[in-house]
Amino acid sequence: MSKTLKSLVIAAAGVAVLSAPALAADKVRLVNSTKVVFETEHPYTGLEEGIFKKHDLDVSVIHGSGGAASLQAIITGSQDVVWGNGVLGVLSAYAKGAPVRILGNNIRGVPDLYWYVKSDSPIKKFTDLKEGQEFAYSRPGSTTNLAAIFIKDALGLKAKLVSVGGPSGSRTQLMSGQVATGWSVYPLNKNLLREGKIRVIGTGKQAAGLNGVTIRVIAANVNWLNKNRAVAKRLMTAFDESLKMTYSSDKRLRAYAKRWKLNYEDVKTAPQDTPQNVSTIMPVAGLDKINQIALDNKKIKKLLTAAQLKELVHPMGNKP
Amino acid sequence: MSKLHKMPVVVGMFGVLVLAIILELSVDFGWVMQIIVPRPSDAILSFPVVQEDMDLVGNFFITLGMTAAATLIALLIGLPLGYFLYRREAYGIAYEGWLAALFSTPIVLLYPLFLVLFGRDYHTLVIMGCIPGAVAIAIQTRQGLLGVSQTLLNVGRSFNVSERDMFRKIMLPSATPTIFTGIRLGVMYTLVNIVAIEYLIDFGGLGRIVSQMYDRFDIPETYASILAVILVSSVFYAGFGRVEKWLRPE
Repeated sequence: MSKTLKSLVIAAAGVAVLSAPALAADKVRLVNSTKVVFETEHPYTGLEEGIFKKHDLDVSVIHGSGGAASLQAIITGSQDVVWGNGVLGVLSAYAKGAPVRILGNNIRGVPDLYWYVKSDSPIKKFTDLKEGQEFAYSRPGSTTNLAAIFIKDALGLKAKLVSVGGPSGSRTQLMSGQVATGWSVYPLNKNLLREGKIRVIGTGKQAAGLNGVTIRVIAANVNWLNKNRAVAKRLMTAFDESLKMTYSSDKRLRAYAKRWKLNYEDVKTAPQDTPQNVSTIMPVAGLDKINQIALDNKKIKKLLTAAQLKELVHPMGNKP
Repeated sequence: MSKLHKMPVVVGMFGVLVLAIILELSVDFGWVMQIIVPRPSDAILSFPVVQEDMDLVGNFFITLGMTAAATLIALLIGLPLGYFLYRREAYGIAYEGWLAALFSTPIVLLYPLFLVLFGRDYHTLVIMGCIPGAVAIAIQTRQGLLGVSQTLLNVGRSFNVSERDMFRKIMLPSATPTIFTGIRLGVMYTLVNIVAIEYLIDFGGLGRIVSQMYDRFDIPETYASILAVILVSSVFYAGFGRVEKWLRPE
């Protein structure tokens, strides 16, 4: 009798051990390309609202410092998926043989970028910028650089494009009078707007040539993707649900403000500053245009072929 | 073997060559991802590409020039400061700890403040570069002078040597190796600071090229630019080695 009982216990333990991996949620290592910016909030919604868990995913999130550094994390395989990386960087890395594929869109156009001046400046709008005055952008080849070029061309400005570094460096240089304009991204520096210290002279929406074009993407390491195609599909569905919840929930906006110690007053208009229709995960749009921009900005040495562009995008984790 | 000992440069080059061959083979066999680290041969072959694209030689001289200017300022500040801290013992004891703390501070993180003070131009790079250099030189100058053998000083006194000659003929030659250790340390920290700020603010010479090449995932070109930074470092290292030998012949 005791022998039978012992056998049953051993058998039950064996079943439990064998079935454990099947029951465990699939692990995904996500690198959020940057922080504070509104579009980076959606993965937190997925985590904190149990959306990833609902899709049987165990997602860990770390922050990158933007640009190539974030993308390197998935190229090396130390992370699986990057959220919100610049599409130019992804295209450039792919062209040089990096194992990276695009899964979806993070933002189309650059509506969340804005340019500002000190409140006492005579400049009221982009077209008030005179020849030689500084039109700020972050770094050569960056999204802000692209937007500034497109705005300058669209409005026929004679202003001088000047690299000023990130939003904080830009603010410092503007406030100390070294440059005529500063750049930022909503909701950063909104406190200065609220306090009347600075004034917006235009936004990225005026970079008409970039409207509707995917600028930041969700991308994955292709080796991980090939081994975890079903996981990637569930992840993208979870991202989509998370994004919709961030946009529709005041609770999520408050959580966003609390996380980055922002004033709720400054973030409550985030869904208008970055409209949901440009943030939808699909489609990945305007890659032909991005291909040409990448060539013009020396990000690639020759245009990617149609077949390469097709191979690059795995919409929602599906094969092209 | 004894012949090899007489040719340290050859031995050093041989070591570098062996490491380069190991890396070349590691990339060839796929043990190291080419998108992360290129073949050394690819990095060397990409020098003309970087030259054509971003004027590598011109930017090499920009970084070299700024490092030279910053080092000169660091010497002008560090040597007298180190001597002062040696002569005035109380000040030396009081401030050496603070200087050591300043030396280990990542001053590069203060670049936004310096951008406000001096603008986004070469002044910021030179001034930020010279600070850690001056500190290293001051600390080592004081240490070098403190380390002069009492016996040598006593010999000088027994010959009734003047204060000036005591400093020039006994103390300075004796302290030179330690002072030059400080100068070498200083110039390296100066160069690192300058290249780091160039990289961060996308302005200036080689650091800016490294930043742009890295952002484009042009990995061989990135490493070619890094090799150029190493060359700047080597120029200073060898240059100060010669000056030291000239001041204190064996």
